[in-house]
Amino acid sequence: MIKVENLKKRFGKLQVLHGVSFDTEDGKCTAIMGPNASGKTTTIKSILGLVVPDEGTITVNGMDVRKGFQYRNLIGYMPQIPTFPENITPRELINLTIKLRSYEKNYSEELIGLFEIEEHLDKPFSALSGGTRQKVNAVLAFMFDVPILILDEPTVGLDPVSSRKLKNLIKERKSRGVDVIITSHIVSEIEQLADDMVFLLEGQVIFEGPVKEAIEQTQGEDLEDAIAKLIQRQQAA
Amino acid sequence: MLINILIAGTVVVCPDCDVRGLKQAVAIAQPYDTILVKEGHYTEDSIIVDKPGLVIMGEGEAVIDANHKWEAILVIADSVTIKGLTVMNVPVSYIHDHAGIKFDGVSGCVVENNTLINNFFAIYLAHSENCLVKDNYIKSNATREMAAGNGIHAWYCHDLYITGNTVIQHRDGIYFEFVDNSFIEGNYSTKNLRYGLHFMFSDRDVYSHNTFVNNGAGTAVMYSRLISLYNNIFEKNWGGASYGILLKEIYDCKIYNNIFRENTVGLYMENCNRTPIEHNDFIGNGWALRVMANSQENMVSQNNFIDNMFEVATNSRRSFNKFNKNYWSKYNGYDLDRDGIGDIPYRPVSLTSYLIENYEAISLMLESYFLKLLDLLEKIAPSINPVGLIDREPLMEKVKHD
Amino acid sequence: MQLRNLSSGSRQLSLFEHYINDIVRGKWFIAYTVLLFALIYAVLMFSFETSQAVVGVMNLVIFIVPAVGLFFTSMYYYSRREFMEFILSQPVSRTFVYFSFYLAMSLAMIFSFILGVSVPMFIQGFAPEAIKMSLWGVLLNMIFVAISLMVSVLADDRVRGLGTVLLLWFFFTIFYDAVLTAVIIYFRDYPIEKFIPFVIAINPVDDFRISTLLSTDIAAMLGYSGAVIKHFFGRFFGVLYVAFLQSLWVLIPFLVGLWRFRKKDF
Repeated sequence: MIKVENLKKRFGKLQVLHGVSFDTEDGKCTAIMGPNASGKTTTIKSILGLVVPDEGTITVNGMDVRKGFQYRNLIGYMPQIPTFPENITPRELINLTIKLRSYEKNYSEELIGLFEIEEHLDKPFSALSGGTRQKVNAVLAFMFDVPILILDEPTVGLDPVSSRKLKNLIKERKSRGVDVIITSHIVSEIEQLADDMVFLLEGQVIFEGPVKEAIEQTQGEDLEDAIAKLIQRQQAA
Repeated sequence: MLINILIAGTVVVCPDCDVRGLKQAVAIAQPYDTILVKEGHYTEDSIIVDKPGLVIMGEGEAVIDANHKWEAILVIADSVTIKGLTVMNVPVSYIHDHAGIKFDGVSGCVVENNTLINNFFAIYLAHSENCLVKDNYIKSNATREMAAGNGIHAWYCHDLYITGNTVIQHRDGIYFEFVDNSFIEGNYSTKNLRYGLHFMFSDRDVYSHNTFVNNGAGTAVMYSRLISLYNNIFEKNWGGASYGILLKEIYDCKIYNNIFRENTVGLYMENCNRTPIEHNDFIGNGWALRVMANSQENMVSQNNFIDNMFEVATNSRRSFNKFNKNYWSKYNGYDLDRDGIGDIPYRPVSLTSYLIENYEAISLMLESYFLKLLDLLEKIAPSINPVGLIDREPLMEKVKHD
Repeated sequence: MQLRNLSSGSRQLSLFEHYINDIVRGKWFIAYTVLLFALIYAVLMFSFETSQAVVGVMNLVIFIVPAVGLFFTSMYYYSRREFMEFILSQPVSRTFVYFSFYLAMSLAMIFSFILGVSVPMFIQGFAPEAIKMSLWGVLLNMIFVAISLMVSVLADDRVRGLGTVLLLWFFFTIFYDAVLTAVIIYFRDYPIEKFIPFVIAINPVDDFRISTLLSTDIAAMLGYSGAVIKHFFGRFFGVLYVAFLQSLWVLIPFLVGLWRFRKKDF
């Protein structure tokens, strides 16, 4: 479970986060949503320790992210459209990740089978298509029995079959009590996967709660409509 | 005198003879006698040859060993000939110029085909005239300049003929001070601690066909006039203060057909005047020519300057000497009218050479890309070169000397 | 959940190993090593004596090694910036990542130096000179990789970073000597010979150049200043001074880069 409290971050003159707070729960999928430049990426990067916040605290399963790096062992992360080093191969990258992690057991074999990428394992990344890279990205995030998954636009570039496989994987992990955090532009995907939603607008949380509640609260027809109304309401205020 | 020669006798010296030493032989010999020194090792020093016309001949390995006591042979009589001896182990002295074979105040001496090993001074001529020093092999094992004497040392002499000698590892190979009208020809001087040839206050001398290789400071010719210097080779005289030749206070000499190869400085001229420098080859030297501003009216012509790091260095922006019709390997002008003379004048003093000559510490920038950049800029814009020294008729092809 | 110890030695090595693999297989790296080998080999083929060979090699090394050390490190850093996010999202400390990156980059450059410079020298029979050259190769690469990494970490903008690196290359190979030359000319009436060794020794490229020249015939052409600097470099104090300065060139950029890297946003 992740607790974000009063997160503030400024890049130069631009205040990106104005005191963002939210919690995520184990066994649930939380979608972090918002238009471009709303602070989604900065928030996720703050959780991962890639961005150092100006103010606020983040705890991951009770560990303060600013004190040590060990907490990242608990997180499986799928970055958005990853650029992997072109000279090395997926197998080498998988092995590197295994070495950097402290898990005795990993599921890389099964996942490689699931996504059918055995034949690509020993080719350099420069020779791989975007879809294949994204599959490797998924293997890297899911191959350990982590309690937390952070997935940034996970289905981008995937074919429908793989996309479906990945969604099933997410559901399966969630059912096993994993805390899943996801960002996506595809609203239908969020509807399928997410239980809760954190909606960011201009660096502020304007909604936090179950997806259903968002629809009810705004009296939207569906999630897409609800989001539109959330934004309108905020701009009116 | 003729009668004397005709009736001259022979004294034989050998280890088992009645005469067992040179000193004894000289004592019993008559003037113009021949002393035949047979093969053997004679430990003797302070042999004073005071009878004129004696001919001392070594036969086989006739060794006079001074055994580090005193000098070996001192000749004070005229017309003495010393041939075929080996003289060794004359000790170093800081008070007395001990020599293997010394001539003092004589006329008409001959020193020929002797071998002089490990002597302080080897052959020493003082106040003498009309002497021939020929085909001697002279070698010392000196390592410190202060504790070494010269190979062939002459002072206050005239009409000497020094030829075909080999001098190795003395202080100066050949040393001339106040020696006029003499020849130094076909000698080979190498590994001497200071100069291969050290030449001062000596006028109207000729030296030709000598080779000076790898001497500590090269050769020096100073305070002299009317010297002819030709067909010599000055090679590999490399060190912080080494010169093919260092010329200082020189007037009216001639320097031609010499080869200066791989010396730190090929030819260094300080107050050198009215001296034509022609038909020489300067190859692979650090500096081919270094001309100080007080050198004037010299004519540098028909020389080949090939692959020298710096061709000419000078500390003056004006040129008081004439440079004409030389071949410069760094010249990259063209010759449209095909007359063998480049159409663009050549400035052999590069900007960097000028800077180093005037601001000595800039030499620390040698081989740096900054100096390379300056050279490049100078090629593009020759006008940044402040030096007036110029060869208006640079040759397109190497000069073929006669 | 079965966990291993996060501070085991194999972890430390694995990231370094990854960077080495990635760098050494890059086409630029291979091209550079082959080109360096070819150039040095050519220079040595046309050298007829040791001095000429050593100076020829030195000329190439002065020009190429700082340039490649600076540009290659910077370009590699920027090209792997996004992947850096992936690495940093793993349970690793930033110090560890930075150190692995620096070590891998320096060793890769040193490796190509040994292959491209020392090996041809060995083949052509200049073994003692090759050993000395290798030591300088190690030092120069460690310095220029550290400087370039610092600049890359400080400058988020790739164009600005590469621009800075270009200026630094110009500074070390040309500008420093130009300024020093101007100082020598300007202060000709002062006894600057005494402090010139101190100042010239600051630039690692000049240290390499002069110490190489002093070991060759050209030493004789450095005149009085050459004698002064030879004396200076020859003494224990001089060696200590040079060693101290050069280690600062490694340490200061390394530490400044690390300091920035540890609190940088990715």
